Amino acid sequence: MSERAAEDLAEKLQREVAEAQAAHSQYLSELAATAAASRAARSAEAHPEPDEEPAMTVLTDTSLPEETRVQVLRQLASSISRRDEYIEALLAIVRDRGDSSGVRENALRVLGSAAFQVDRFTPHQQAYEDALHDLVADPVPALREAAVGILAQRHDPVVQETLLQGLRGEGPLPVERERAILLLAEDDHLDNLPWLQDLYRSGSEDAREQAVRFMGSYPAAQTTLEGILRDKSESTGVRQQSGAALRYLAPDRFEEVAKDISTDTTDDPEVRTASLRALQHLGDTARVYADTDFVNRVRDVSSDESAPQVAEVARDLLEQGPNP
Amino acid sequence: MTALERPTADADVAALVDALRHLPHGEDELVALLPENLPIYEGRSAAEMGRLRGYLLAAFANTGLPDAAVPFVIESLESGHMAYEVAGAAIGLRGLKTQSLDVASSLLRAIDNLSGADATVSFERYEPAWPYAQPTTALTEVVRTIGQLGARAGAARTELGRLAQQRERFSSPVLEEIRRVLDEADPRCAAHARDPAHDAAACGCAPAVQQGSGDACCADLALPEPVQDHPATATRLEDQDGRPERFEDFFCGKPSIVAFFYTRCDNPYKCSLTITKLAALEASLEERGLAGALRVAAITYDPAFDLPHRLRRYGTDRGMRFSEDTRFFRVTSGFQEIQRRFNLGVNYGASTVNRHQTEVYVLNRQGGIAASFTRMRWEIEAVLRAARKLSVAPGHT
Repeated sequence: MSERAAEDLAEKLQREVAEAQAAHSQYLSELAATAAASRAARSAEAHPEPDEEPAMTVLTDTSLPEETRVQVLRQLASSISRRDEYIEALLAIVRDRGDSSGVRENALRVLGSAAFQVDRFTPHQQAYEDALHDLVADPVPALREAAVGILAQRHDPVVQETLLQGLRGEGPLPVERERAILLLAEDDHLDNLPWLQDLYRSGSEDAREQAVRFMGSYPAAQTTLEGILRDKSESTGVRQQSGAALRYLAPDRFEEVAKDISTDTTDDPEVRTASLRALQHLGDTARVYADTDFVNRVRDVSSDESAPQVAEVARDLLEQGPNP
Repeated sequence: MTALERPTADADVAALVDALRHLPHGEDELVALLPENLPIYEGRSAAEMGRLRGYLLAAFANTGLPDAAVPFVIESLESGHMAYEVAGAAIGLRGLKTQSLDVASSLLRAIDNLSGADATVSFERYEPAWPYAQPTTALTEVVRTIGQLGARAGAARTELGRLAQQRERFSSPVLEEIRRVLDEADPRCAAHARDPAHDAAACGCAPAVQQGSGDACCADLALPEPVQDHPATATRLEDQDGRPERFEDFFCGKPSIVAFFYTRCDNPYKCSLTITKLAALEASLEERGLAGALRVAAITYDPAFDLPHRLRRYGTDRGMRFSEDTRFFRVTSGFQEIQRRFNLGVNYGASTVNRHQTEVYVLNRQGGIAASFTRMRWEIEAVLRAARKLSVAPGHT
């Protein structure tokens, strides 16, 4: 970097720092004014803490506009894990169904970030999870979905049971049925295969792909996955996902099926090229090249101009092999 | 008890537990429900198994805790990773009848394991609805048990004073429970607990337990079992490199140490720890010049999923150095024979293992079990001692 460019950069950085400092000063000044007004309004009916920080005053004053309180939350986000009293205040806000849903959602987001600071957050972890459990039955869908998602990813037994009861029709489902099944599928120690098979039969295209992906954890799903991968009437996305799941679960079986598909001129070119690439780059490639019958079939495919895309990948596979 | 078989709703098993906890001699019937390989536990999810285990263990607080149940309680305290199960074990331990058993290290290990993993639980009934009428937490129950066991909690009670200072590790309710237990303790002990410099001998308190030191509890309970001879087996194995092997071909001819595990185990205190310790044991054999004298192996509980490449990666990631005498296996045929041979403490849900005990065996030159280290935490030195007896005395099996 030239001296001139370095000076320009330094000037630019100084300008940005000055702007940020000015913006922060303005924020603090407005915060102090808002907090003073809030204290004055509240002092008639309650006794606010005399030494309370302006940020805490504004954050906990439910009569203030949502955006004012959300702005404070955003400012606090990076430092909240070091402030026990703020974590406790946020937990109270999240649990308060009478408070603004926008503030509660933002508070939950900030708590979620703070929870990543495991060492500092440990004393609050249990209270945080209790708050999440409360939110599972909250009337605000966004809060419900966020809480269920966080808990399910931790394999929380309470939320897992709630989701299972909902799927069985024994209670309300806190999230959409498709999402409930996919969240339960995060835990491969649950009996999820029947739910995944149900989702594969009746879910949206995206959910069906996800269902097939999760089936890769279940050895009992091997035949189903092979059937889906071979099913020419199935969508390309679902078949490719099924191939990935089968390869994860039973690589040898996948190799056999992929050899069949990749050399079947009546099959979907996209699935054929994906199969060829998997055989070329993943798994036991030496064994693939040692299968002379398969290599000969690939040679036929490489000169098949009716499927140029597949032919190109076939030529590449042959060129990269031990006997190009 | 055997009248209860699959399919039995978990709520029905819990109802049986509720009935037994109030019956005279109900504890013997409860003990009969403890082994995880009972048919009534087949097909259940791991979460269901954890709930049932916690509920069952807690019932021993009502009936009294017979000696036969103690290893199961200790196992859940030391290796449980679900807060509910650990809480149930802590509650059940209050029924302890044996006066001389040292449970301090198990209670302290539970506290260590739960730090950052505590959760609100309730034993007001089986599967209570949220919000709970009688909430508690696993850590709270462990601390409460230390208080209720009094002198029988030994050094664990002394440790509470030190733990009370660690505000960053515990929630406010748990800290309050620690202080409550300290306040109720013998004033001399309380003074000692608050001030580690206080002379422990003056008040009769045991010295503080060092984590990771030898475990008196396990030393009392993990007794090697007598040598058992087994007929030749037709079990077929496949190792981490995909090489086929017959059971007798690997496990006969030299003494061996074999552990059971599975790569999808989500309990960090069981399989992952077992294999890490097995790797350390293997390294120790090499350091002592015993590498060629013994074989070291691990066999997966989950052979359908644990293909050779998974076995290799799982072992390598945990420090295992594979060789002709150090191998991991999956059973390709005859797994039931292996289950019978070792009476494996394992059961299965729809997809994989739903619960298992920790199990390490020392086998003699005929492949028979010479010593067992099951259920509770095992120490590398204890296994090595049992194995060395076989390796240094050829012919003595």
